[in-house]
Amino acid sequence: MIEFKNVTKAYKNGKNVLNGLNLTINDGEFVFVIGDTGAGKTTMMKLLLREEKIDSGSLTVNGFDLGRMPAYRVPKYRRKLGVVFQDFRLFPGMTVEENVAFALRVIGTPKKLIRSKVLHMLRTVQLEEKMKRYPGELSGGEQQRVALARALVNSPEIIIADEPTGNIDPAMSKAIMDLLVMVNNLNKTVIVVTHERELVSHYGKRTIFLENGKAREYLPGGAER
Amino acid sequence: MRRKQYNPFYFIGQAFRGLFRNLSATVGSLFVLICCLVLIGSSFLLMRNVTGNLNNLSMMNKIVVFLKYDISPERANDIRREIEGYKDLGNLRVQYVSKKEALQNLIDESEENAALYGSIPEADNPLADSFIIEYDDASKVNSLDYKLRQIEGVRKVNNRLDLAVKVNAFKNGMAVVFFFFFVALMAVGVFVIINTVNLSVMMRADEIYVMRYVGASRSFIALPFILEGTILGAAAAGASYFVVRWLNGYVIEKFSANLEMIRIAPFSENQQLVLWGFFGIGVLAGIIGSTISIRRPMDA
Repeated sequence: MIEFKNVTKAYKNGKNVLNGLNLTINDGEFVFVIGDTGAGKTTMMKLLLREEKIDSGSLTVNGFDLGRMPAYRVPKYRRKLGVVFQDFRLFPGMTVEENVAFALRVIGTPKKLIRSKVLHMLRTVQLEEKMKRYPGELSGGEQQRVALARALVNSPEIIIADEPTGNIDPAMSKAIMDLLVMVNNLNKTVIVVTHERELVSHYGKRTIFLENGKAREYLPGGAER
Repeated sequence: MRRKQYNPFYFIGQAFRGLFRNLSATVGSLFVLICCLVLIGSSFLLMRNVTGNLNNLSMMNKIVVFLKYDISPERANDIRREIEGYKDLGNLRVQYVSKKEALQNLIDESEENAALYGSIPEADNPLADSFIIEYDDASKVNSLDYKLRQIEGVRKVNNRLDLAVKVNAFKNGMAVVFFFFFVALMAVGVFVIINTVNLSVMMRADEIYVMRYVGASRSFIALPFILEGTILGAAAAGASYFVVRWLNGYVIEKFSANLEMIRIAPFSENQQLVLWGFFGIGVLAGIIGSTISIRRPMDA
């Protein structure tokens, strides 16, 4: 469970980005986070990734108190998360297989296990046949599927996707979103930060609208909570 | 919990990849580091040689106590024990020199008059039995001098305190200059390594970014860069060792014959110190430099 309680966050320039954010996301939920530029979406993501620390209030993610967590525990916490970046962040010099395996290799997963997990994940995102290709040889949508496979390969409890469809065409966007829904059906919590309102309305999932550092919620179907 | 498996060759491989990826920067850094280490090593050897020669100046940190001519061996032994009992005057090393040994030393040291001194019969030996007292703490020499003069059986006490104080001040001054020189050059070395490792960090910025978000530990991310700096420092240390060894040999070969009063120590006397000192400095500079380089991208 993810719980923001009265969370505030201001930057050094004095700008208050989050002003007492209260929000609970239960295990296995699929949540869209939307909002205008400067509404606090990125800050909320950074807090969830423990890239930034909260100023006051409390933020708990699956038992990890992010406000009090010492720096040395951050890597362990991040292994519970899967992050999908808007710009994919794939390594052009590595094959699809190596890109996905990278996430396991750097946390010390045994070699034998890496191979089987990567194969399984590439099968899930339907890229098994292209595992020896390089990212440059793939379409934008395929690259994002590789990025998704990399985010999922360590079996994270929570998937955080930052504008996952921002750099791909509408048809592929839908395919990526379908994959995220499929992941959510495996009882993983999925948080998608996006500005694509059409996508949000199409999927009819719980939506959090950030405005002036506070959250307004819409239930599936569009009714305000 | 499943045991983590990290391949040590991964870290070493990444470190070498980083060094070869920025080959021109690596070579440049190596050159500057070697220059710094050679300067440190040369100034260190210079200091050691100067200090060694100063220490060899006659009776620098020594007091000579001449005993009365008619003193018995038993009384001389008592005096020795008394001097060795001055525990409050620091560490004293007492050496007894009989008048026979003193005459022999005179013969050995004097080339021109050796025959003349050698012709003196033992019974007519004009020299006296003496003690050479070597001390460590120059600040207590006045007290020691006073006490020695009070001993029954002591005829004369010779000390070179004024010279010893001046030489000690000179040695201390030289040590301070060397220390600042060492710190400045060490800082240059660290700065050079920071710049080189920074290039590798920049080239692998994307990898570091992703590693952080998939939960790689800080040590896993940092280790290849720290190894890179360490390898650079160690390589510079190895090369500098040979340069300094050659320089030392060159100086001995060229100048030793012309400097009769000055002894230049052969490199073998200092080689262990230079070798391990260079490796220590090189590796330390590598670790400090690379740790500084990697801190910012890991915390960003």
